[in-house]
Amino acid sequence: MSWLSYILIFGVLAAFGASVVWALWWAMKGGQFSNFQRGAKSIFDDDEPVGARTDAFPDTRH
Amino acid sequence: MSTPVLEHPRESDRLDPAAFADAAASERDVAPLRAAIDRSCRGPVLWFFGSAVTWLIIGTVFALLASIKLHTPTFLGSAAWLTFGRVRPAHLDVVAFGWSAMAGLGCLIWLMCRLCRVPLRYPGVLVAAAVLWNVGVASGVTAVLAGYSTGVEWVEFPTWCAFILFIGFALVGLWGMMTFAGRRAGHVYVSQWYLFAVIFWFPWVYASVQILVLVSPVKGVTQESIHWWFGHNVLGVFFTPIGLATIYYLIPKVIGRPIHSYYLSILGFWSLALFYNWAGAHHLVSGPIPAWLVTVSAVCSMMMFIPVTTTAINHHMTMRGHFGVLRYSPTLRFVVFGAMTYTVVSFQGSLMSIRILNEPFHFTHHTIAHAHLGLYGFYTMVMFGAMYYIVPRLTGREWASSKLIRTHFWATAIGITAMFLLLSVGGMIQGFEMNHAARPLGELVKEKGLLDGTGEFFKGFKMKNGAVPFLAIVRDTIPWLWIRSGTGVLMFVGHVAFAVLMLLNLTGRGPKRQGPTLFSKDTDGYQRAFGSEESPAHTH
Repeated sequence: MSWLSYILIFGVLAAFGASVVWALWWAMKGGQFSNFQRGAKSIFDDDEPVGARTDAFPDTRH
Repeated sequence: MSTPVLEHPRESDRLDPAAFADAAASERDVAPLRAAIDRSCRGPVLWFFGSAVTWLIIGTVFALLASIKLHTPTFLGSAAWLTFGRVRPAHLDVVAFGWSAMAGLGCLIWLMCRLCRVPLRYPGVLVAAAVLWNVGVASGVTAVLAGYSTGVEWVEFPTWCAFILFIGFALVGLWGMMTFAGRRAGHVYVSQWYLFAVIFWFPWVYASVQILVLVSPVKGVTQESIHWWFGHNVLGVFFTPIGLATIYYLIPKVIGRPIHSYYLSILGFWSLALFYNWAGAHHLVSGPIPAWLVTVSAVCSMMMFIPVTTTAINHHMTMRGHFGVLRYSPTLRFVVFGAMTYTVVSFQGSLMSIRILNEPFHFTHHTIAHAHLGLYGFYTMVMFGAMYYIVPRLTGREWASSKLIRTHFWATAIGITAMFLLLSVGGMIQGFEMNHAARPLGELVKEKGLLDGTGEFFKGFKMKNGAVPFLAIVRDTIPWLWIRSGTGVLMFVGHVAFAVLMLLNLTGRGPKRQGPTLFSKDTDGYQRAFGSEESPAHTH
């Protein structure tokens, strides 16, 4: 293989491996994994709360 | 309704209770904010979705041409550009990079804005990305039809076309990172983990295969290892994460219930990140590559049981008690169909990596059935569901016809199910025959004790009178190939129904929506039918 191939394979391997480790470290340090229930509810809000359904066939809403 | 001014500072990465309480107080602004986010996504996302549906129709036409040619080779056989060797890769590339990628990137853009809770900035960058992507696919498929294919499956486009795609993706990726950096929401929802993975992983696998196989090819069988590592992982680290991100957002949003176990969803993401990209070499079982490479690949394929099981449990338990909503929600129908199929196709894929199962089934129509179940039964159905949810919120118009939605769902659902089941059977027979081509299959079945042990089941396939020459094996596949074309026609009908719906919506023919964010504010009857729901219990 050419030197370009070696650089590509091992360089990218190291960079991506490091970025994954960093992302995990960042998430743990930042409390992303500290309260799972809050995480699950983070896509709901006052306007579309838990319990409110948000989609229907056009002719079944009346 | 005025667009809210986004003056709230982003929460710090450390989510302390006080900061979260402040954020909760500002939630009163969420309805106009969400409407503003949806409006801001309108141009770029509709560019991606509109293009995707156009490519879907074109790709399905190529699919039908290729399928018909398998059982009727003379069909349109006089023109070089319509021969099987060109039409088949044209189908694959158009549905993969035209339909699937553009639909997925549209979802990615909308989800990023929604989950970061910021309106879309720099829409011009994304429109430019969509234009570049369309140019890349159009020039690539033209080159393939003109006979300039690279000959490498999944990357048939000439390198310069791939470069255009790469630039288009890079624009979306950079936009995604900038949007994430400017987010209002402190918590990173599980869907965002998947989407961020796509932003980093796809350029990696795509650049690797382009450089190491096409631009500066490595020598010998290493090429094939890299090729099938890409062929497997373009599904695993591009389409699958987008599909799962969409499922993890839409099922809870549509039924109004948080994910059953957020813990399992995070475990599922990290285990997928750990195991998926080791796989790929199992496509070369019995090939001239080191046996350990295939073994590692098969082991990691089996390890995929972990993320798939967590995801399956999560989706099912979240839906439990809410399956009745499937009657009401087009989005949920498609997304839940896709989610259930994800479980089936993933378990099947893991098992197919085992040598004893791979040997009879690989290089047969069984693999084709599996591939369609993955990219269509799972991914495409989820994308359909996502578009049913997203497009009305962007255009301000609801879908024009429930009948067309139902036609779309049943034609595609029945089509892909029948294609998968019947083509799997055909492929299985083909595989058994090819592995024992010198012997009658009925005898083999009897000897192995399969089915009822008499071989009666297979008599209809004309294999009881002696050995099975190769041409006989080819002939035995023909009935199954006709079925394949028939199910393809059914799916095409569904696609046309969807394209008509999309056209009506984009041209303002649907009834006007009544609320800023809901599909319709008038959900009373809908709510009465099922009552309100308490928050489910969560595991930690």
